[in-house]
Amino acid sequence: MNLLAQAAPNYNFWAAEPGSARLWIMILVSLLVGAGFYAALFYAPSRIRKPIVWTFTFAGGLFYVLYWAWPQPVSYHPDDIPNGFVENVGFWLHDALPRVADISNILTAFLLGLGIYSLLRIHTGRIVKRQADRGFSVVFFIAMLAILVFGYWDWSLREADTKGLLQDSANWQLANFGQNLLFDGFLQQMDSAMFSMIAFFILSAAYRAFRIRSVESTVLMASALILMVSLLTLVVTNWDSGVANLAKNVFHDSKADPATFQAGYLNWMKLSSIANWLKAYMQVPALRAVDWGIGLGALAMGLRLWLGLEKGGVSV
Amino acid sequence: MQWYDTGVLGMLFVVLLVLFILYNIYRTEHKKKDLYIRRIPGLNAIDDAIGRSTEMGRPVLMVPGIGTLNAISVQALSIFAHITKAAAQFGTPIRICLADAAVYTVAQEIIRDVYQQQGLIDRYDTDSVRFLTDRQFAFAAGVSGLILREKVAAAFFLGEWYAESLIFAETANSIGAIQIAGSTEKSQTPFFIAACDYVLIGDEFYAASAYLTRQPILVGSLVGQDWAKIAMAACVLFGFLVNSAQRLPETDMHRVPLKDGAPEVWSQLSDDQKADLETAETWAKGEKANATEDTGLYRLFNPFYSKEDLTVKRAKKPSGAAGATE
Amino acid sequence: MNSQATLDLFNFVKITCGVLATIGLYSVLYKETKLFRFFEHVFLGLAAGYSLVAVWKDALYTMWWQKMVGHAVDATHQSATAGYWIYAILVPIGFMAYQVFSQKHNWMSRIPIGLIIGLWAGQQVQIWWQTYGPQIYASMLPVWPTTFSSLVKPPVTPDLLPAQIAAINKELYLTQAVNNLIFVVTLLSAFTYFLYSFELKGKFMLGFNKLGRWMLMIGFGAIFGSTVMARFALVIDRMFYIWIEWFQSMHFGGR
Repeated sequence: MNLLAQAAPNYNFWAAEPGSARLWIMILVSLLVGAGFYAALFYAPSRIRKPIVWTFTFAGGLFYVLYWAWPQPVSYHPDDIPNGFVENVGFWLHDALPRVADISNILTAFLLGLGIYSLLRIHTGRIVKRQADRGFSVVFFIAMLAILVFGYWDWSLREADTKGLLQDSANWQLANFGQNLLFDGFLQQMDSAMFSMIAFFILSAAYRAFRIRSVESTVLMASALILMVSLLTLVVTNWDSGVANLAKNVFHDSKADPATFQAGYLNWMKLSSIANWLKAYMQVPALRAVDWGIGLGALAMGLRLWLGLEKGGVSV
Repeated sequence: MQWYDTGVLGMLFVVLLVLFILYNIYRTEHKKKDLYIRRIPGLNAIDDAIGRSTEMGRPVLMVPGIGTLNAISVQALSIFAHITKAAAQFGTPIRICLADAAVYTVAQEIIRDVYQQQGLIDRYDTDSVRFLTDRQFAFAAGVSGLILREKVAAAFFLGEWYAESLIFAETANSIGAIQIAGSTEKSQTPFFIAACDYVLIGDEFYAASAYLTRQPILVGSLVGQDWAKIAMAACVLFGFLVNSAQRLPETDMHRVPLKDGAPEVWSQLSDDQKADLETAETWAKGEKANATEDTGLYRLFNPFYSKEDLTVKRAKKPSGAAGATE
Repeated sequence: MNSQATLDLFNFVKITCGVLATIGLYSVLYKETKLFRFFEHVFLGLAAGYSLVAVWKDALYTMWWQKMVGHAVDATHQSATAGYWIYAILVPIGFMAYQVFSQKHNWMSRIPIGLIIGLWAGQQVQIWWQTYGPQIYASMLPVWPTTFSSLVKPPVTPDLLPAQIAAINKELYLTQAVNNLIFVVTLLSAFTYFLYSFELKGKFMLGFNKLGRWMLMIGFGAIFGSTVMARFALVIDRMFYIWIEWFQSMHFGGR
């Protein structure tokens, strides 16, 4: 929005000049303080453990609740001076939102290491214990290492390539070819292959559902069939022109025109109209009811977790 | 008016729902009486599914979807904790596959806790809770392989599911596993209905922990949610009658964006002001039609912001110390 | 510079690998064989390795590192950005999760988890009305027709004048009103299915509840039906990849 503000960054207590000694010292200090806190937690007596965890949960939730409940500043500009206390807090919340929004993603990213640890444990375990499938674990490691090496190599080449030479495959090096083969050649195609397999499964699932003789399953498959047929162009054109002919020749509706599939007052009998009606007046409200229930469930669950009322789960 | 009207109705309504939930939690905790919860067939089948696994000596598979760490995955894991409790007692092997490292961390913690509380920590195998990958279809391939190789006897697919749901359900079905599934994504529920033995529809998933454990807090929260649902239904019921009445008269007043309604005012604004007033509206005369936008109900849900509402005077910071943005 | 012949050869190798991988994964439809198991492990390995690449280049580097250290004006950045050192505090918090395998201090892993959950929980309160407010309003449909001049909405054809079209569109006809009533009844009946703590009694309420279940099934069926075609498009795309793109890639230099 305001490009001028970006050209001259405002250095304050929280924001230091890039590359400056102060920035690195402050980073080091916060790492040390964090590490100190980390070490102090080793000695936390068990009765204050739950309150410590809950404090973090509550603080996280409180930010969004405040952001929601506090009046938001009208026509906010970063270089405005807020009028009074209420606006001051409003400005602060507004400025903090993008940073707070990053926290979850950053923490989740840090946690990936744990997942990788789980994988390494299982696959090295198989190899060490000489289990039957150990060959496949070796395959797993080769694939993982290959894309790791080529991926970072390719990325670092592309980061250094400020002129955009690597946009053209004629300038590629081994790293770029390797990354492209593994990512575009294997990974993406395998994604598509698994995704497309759903089509076969949808057939077998539909076949079984058709065979179940209960009213509800029949209702479900009938509505599925109408929607499915309404997406088959050939059937739709034939049906709709049939309806238009009926309107023109049998009911002599002056507004009916088979050439443009207009059926005048019989428009509602067209397959597309029936499918749209089913969607608009049955699918939308029925699923809205599902949505509302889920929304309330999430709200209640969020409240219980935020206020530390949930026993079991994460806040034992 | 100095503050952007954040919609008083919305604020009040949410506060009302929150109060319903909290009040009922309080009320149930102090009542010490079992409250009625309607039958949820999918949850009654859990014991049968575990029993079958135990008989066949095959593992129970649990997957909490592919969502990131949030209340949905936590809820799925607390249902899984309940299932694990029974499985631990019978010594039935379990497999929990995760598609998110953060959820994996929670799962490790919760499941180990279950075994510990049962005094069966020696039966706990860290590798029974495993992270596969956070890539949607690679996860699908990995779990399919696991289902087919280990021939799981029961499968629980509860949580946030997307397109991959059917791959799981059909693969597990092909080896004859009992399946209990539920998705918070309504677009996946039909595939579970078609392919699984029992399905939790919509927020039956959230009701599950109250149903299984009968903890007063959870039951109270469920009652509060019911009150909230009745409030929403009442709102719709009242609203559609009021709306029907309010739509009868005709009017020629329409709400239009300030840009279109008052071009002469708009043209005199600076770019900054235009950006501020993008959501501003004004009244304009037009064709006579049934009242829609100027009904009271419409304005309650869609507050009208005039140019004056959206403008506020503030001093500028001295130049050179312009605000720090990204 | 790579020659066209090299690029063509690479392209052929790449597509051949993709085709083999696709066939390997498809083989599970027949049976779980060693072929599938091989490609499954390739897939999982690549996915895990790629996550490790992506977690740095797409998440941590841009979202965390660059914001923490900022950047000065240089060839790639036209303007300087301040460094926010406080981002460093997330490292120790994140690494608390790594205590999960410790016997004694595993409770510490709940701190980052609790923080993430807390943020999510707060957001639910924040977005609730934004999500459901408009839906509640959109469900308050009028059910009293404004005119009885025609029972159905007269067809709007191109030969009508704009004023005539406006005159047709402004009214609420009886059939539309009935449709709106169906909408509201569907919504409310389906909603009764999600009441847990009230025992529904009486013929009317039980019937209403049953109607709600049917409506839910119609809604789910509609989703099922609309998805089938989209999924078949994916298979057709794969077949195109195997039969057309693969064969085309064999024509070196001739595309």
